[in-house]
Amino acid sequence: MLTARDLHLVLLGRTVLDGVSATLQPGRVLAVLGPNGAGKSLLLACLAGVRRPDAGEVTLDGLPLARLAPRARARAIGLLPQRSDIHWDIDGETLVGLGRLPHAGRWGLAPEDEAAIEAALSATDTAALRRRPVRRLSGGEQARLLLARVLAGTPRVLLADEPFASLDPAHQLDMLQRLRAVAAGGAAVAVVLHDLTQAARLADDALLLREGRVLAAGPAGRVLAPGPLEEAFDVPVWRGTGRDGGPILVPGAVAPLGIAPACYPAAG
Amino acid sequence: MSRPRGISFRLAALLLLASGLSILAGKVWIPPGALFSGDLAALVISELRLPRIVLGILVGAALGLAGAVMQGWLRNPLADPGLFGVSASAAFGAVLSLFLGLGTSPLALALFALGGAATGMATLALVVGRSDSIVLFTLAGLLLSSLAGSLTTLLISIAPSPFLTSEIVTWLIGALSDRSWGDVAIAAPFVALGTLLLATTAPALDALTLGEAAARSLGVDMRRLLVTVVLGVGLIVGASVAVAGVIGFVGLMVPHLVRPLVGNRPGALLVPAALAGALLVVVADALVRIIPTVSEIRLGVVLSLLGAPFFLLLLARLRRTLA
Repeated sequence: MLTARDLHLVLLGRTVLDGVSATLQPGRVLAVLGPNGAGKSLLLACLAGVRRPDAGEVTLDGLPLARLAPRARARAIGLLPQRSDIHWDIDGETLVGLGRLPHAGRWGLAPEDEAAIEAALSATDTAALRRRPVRRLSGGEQARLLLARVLAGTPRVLLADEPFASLDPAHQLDMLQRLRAVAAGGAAVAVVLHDLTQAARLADDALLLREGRVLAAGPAGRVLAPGPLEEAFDVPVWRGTGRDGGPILVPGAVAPLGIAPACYPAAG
Repeated sequence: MSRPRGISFRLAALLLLASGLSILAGKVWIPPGALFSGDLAALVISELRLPRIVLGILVGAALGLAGAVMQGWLRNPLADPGLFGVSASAAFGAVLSLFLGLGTSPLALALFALGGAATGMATLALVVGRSDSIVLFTLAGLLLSSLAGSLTTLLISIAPSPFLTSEIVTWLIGALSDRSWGDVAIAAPFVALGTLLLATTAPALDALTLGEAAARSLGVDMRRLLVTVVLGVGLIVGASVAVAGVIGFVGLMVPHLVRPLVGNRPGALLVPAALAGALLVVVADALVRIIPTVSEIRLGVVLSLLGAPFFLLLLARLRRTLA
C-alpha cells in the first residue's frame, strides 16, 4: 500500500501541492483528475519517489520512500511518465528490458528477467514488435511498449501519467483493460487522465485536485459525479448510463433531448 | 545481448592486428624477423613505436569512451568532450604550465591539464545545475570552449619569447610523436581510473533512453551519475590531452560509427566505442608515420580533416530526420 500524507511542494515560488493526501490500495485503481496545472503529474512524481516533497511524506507499506534505496524503490513502484521520449532507436525487446534494470544483476539478464520481459510483451500484445526499431513505430505501438516496459519490472505499484493520450479509441479501450488487468493481478494502480467517462469506467477510487488541493477523494462513483466535477472544472457535466450499464460522463451542456432537468444539475 | 559482445571481440581482434602492423610501419619499415634481433631495430620498437602505440590505444579508447558516455548521458548524438569545452579547458591548463615554464616536467603539465579539464567539467555542471536541458548544456559548453580558447590565445599573445609561442602552438595540435614510456605512465592511471568510473554508468545510460523521469523511476541516482560522468570524463580527457594534446572528433565520430552495430543501446556502446576509438587513433597515427612528408603531419590535424566533413554529413542527416 502506498500512502501520501499531507504533501506540500513549492516550485518557482508557487505552491503546486498544498496538503495532498492519497492512498493507493493493492488491487484497486485510483483515478487522479483535475484541471491543467492542478498538480496531478507532480503528485504522481512524488508518489513514485522521483521528486521529493518539501513537506509531508510518502510511505510504501509504512516505510518512508526517502529511506528506501533507489533500486529497491524502483523494484516496487513503476512510473509511466507523461512525456516518454525514446531517445535512441533501440528495438522493442530492449526497450521492454529496460524495465528490468532495477532487478538486473551485474552480468546481464537472468532467466527470471527474461520471463518477466516475455510476460510483459504478451500482456501488452507487443511480442511482434520485439525486433522492430521503436522510433519507427506508431504512437499507439510505442505506448504499448512503454507500458510493457513498466510491467516488465513487476511493480507492486503502477503509476501512469495520461497513458491514453495519443491513442486512438480502440487502443484507449485496450489500454483501459490492461490497466484493469494489472490491478486485478494485485498491484495498486494510479492513473492521471482527463476523459471523465474513461475515469469512471476504469477507477475504483478517484481523487479530484484543483490548484494543488484535494477537492474530493473517495469511491469513484461518489467523486466522479456532476457536483464535484463541476466544482473542479467549472463546466457543466452530464452523467448518464450507457447501454452496457456503465457510466457516461460528458462535459458541457450536452444532456440528450428528453432527459429530465433533474438529472442534469446546473453548474455551480 | 550476445551481439555487442561479438562486436567487441571483432574490434579487439582488429585493434590487435592494427597495432601489430603499426609496430612495423613507419619511416623505417622493420621486418617482423628483426623484432627479436636485439639490435637498433628492436630498440626503435621497444622505445619509440611501442610506447607510441600504447599511448594511441589509451588516448583513442579514452576519447571514444568519453564521447559515448556524454552522448548517452545528454541523449544528444552531437555531444563530444571537444565540443563541450572539456578538451579546451585541459589544453588551457597544459598551456598555462608551459607558459609558467613548468613544461619540462611532464608530470606538472599533466596535472595542469587534468586540473583544467576538471575545472571545465565542474563549471559546466554548475551552470547547468539540475536542469536536463540539452540546449543549455550545449550553449554552456560552447561558451566554456571559447572562454578556454581565448585564455589560451591570451597566453600565446603575451608569451615572452617566440620559442615559447612555437612550443605552445606545436603542442596544441595533438600528436603522438616522440612519446615515451614516461608519458604512458602518466596517462595510464588516470585513464584507467576514469574508465572504471565511466564503465559503471552503462545501466544508467540505458535507462536515460526514456528520459530523466523514467530513469529516476528506474532507480537511477541522477546526482551520482552527474558526479561520475564529470569526474570520469574529466580524468580521461584531461589525461589524454596532457599526453597527446587536443585530438578532436574521435569522441564524436566513433560512437556514431559503432552505435548501429550494438542496436543503438547507449550502455552497450561503451566497450565497442572505446575499442573503435583506439583502433581509429592507432590506424591514423600509423598513416601519419607512413605518409612521406618532410616533417610528420600531426595526428590532430589528420583527425580534424577527417572529422569535420563527417560532422557536416551527420548534421545533414540529422536535418533530414528532424524535417
